[in-house]
Amino acid sequence: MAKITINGVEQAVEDGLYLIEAARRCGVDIPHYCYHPGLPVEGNCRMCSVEVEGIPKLQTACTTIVQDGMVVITDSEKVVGERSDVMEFLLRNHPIDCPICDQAGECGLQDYYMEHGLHDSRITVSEKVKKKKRVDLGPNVVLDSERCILCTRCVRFCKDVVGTEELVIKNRSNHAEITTFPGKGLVNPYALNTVDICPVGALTSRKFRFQCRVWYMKNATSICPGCERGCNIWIDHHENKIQRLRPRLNPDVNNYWMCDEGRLDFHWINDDRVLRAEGPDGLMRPDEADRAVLALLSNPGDVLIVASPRSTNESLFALKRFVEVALPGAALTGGSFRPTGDDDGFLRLPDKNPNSRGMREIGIAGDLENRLNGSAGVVLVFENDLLGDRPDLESVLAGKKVVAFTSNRTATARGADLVVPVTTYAELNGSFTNHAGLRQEFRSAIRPPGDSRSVFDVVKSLSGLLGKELGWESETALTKEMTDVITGWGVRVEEETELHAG
Amino acid sequence: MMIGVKKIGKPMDIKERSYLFEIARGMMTSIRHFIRNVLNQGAMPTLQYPEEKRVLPERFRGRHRLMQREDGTPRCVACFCCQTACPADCISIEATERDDEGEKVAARFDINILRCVFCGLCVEACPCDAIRMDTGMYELADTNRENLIYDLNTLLRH
Repeated sequence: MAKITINGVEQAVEDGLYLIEAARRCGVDIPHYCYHPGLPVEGNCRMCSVEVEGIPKLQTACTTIVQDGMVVITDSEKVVGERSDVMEFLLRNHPIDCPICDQAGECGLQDYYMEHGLHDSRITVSEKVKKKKRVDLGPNVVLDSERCILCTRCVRFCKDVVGTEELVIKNRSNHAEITTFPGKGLVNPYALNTVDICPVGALTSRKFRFQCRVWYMKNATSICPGCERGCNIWIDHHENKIQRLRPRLNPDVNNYWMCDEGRLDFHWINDDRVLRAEGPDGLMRPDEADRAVLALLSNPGDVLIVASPRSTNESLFALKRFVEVALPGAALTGGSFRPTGDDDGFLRLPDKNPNSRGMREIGIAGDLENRLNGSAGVVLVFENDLLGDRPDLESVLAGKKVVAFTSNRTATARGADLVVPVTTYAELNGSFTNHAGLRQEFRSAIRPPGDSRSVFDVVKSLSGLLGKELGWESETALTKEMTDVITGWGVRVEEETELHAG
Repeated sequence: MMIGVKKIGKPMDIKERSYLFEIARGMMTSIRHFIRNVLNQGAMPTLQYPEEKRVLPERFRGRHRLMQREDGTPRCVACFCCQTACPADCISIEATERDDEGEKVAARFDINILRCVFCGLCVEACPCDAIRMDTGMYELADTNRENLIYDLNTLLRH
């Protein structure tokens, strides 16, 4: 431990920390642009300059390592003046086009100008150096060179985090700008993280560009369902539509990052949803749908229930209880035919289902293919697109009555005799257990569209019609029992502390 | 709890109870206006609307219009400032990219005039002077609600 004095208060901090991080832990925020806790330090923006006793010139807090007995002042006249001057330099060529800039509302320049700048500009708009407003760096990222303050966070991300080194700064002084190497694009599968870490509006996401102003959006904590890594994410939504997904800091899982594949895979939640239950005779109310399902369950021995590793732990646990209590004799199986990917050594993992481990630990057998080829005449498919993933199963399912509990109009839903809408992960409180056995909870972001119900509500209603009790008043009771029963699933305490997000 | 009745004031005298004098006293205001209007008809405040119309004050806030650039395209850059400022939530915008210089432009710009409270905050919020309320149009009644949601083209044409 090192003892340092920040603004007259003596505090003990860990050895080896950079001053900016040490100060943050002591509750003193030092403004910064180029420093990002997930990237190597560079010290080029000069915004974090502070006074260190014994050193005549101001020091950048992001490159200075704490030493025992260090005396630091972050709010002296000299430091405050330096910040204002640095802001003036950074805004020298900035176009101040906040009205059309997507970053407006979460922009480092806006925030720090109000906090530390507030100078009158000495540069007229016509004196500013004009650069390209729209450069396609790659398929997902668009660059506005004028807005860039050359902090090189994006360059360092590509170099040191992904290791692909696509970005570089070309030219000097007023004409310096971010670019890719000739003939190359920003094509790495994590490219959109550069948009997150860009402290200004220079890098924008092609998909999110101009879609929604950031101040309209509300956010919910969630878990990416794209693979078994279970990256922690924010769901940003507006008017009950998901607008974008952003990574949420979790040092144990995904740190500050997430892959583009997971980030862009949310349009299925907004579009093409099943809103009403559909049977052979047309649309049905939820209670009519439940009775229609019930009519197929007269002989439990003939029923096969297919669970999915895309369902939440809570849904799977409720489903298992439903089979045990209300439908003894019916077969319960789980699994997925989703094509697997590669383990790229960073975040993406081969299994493209978020909850395969959870399903295994809950005790749902994965003998899906054998069971489907068995003799069961009625198949209830929960959140599993069997036909979409394996079109050749059509002949197997042809002779069977298929009930699809699904959120979207999948191939399975189109081939089913009965379709019942259920919620997606974005409309549920629940949890996924990732490949390492970490049970991660998430909160519902938006309201379920149409008649969509959670799997818990569906099986509760079905068992009620069968005259059986699942034994839980609410989902909270279910979660409690589940975490008590399954080893190592004790309720994870949600970290409410605001982790340093850059 | 019982509600008690308490009589206050003095009882009415015979003059008040006859009502005649009181009515005449009350009619004095009307009679005074009547005589004044008959003698000086030019100063009468009543207008024969809709044949006659009031002269509007210079800063009267009427129906909105969207301004055009010199090349005829909308000045609006779809910054959503008006939509954000609107207390009645009557503006809805969808943004898209301009083909030429990569700037933002409104793909859809609807004002639901049924909701509008004509406060003028949208005009104040606009950084481009793209929306104004100086058309002086206030006769906006229609027989159909859909017609009262003005789109980009209607607002650009004034």
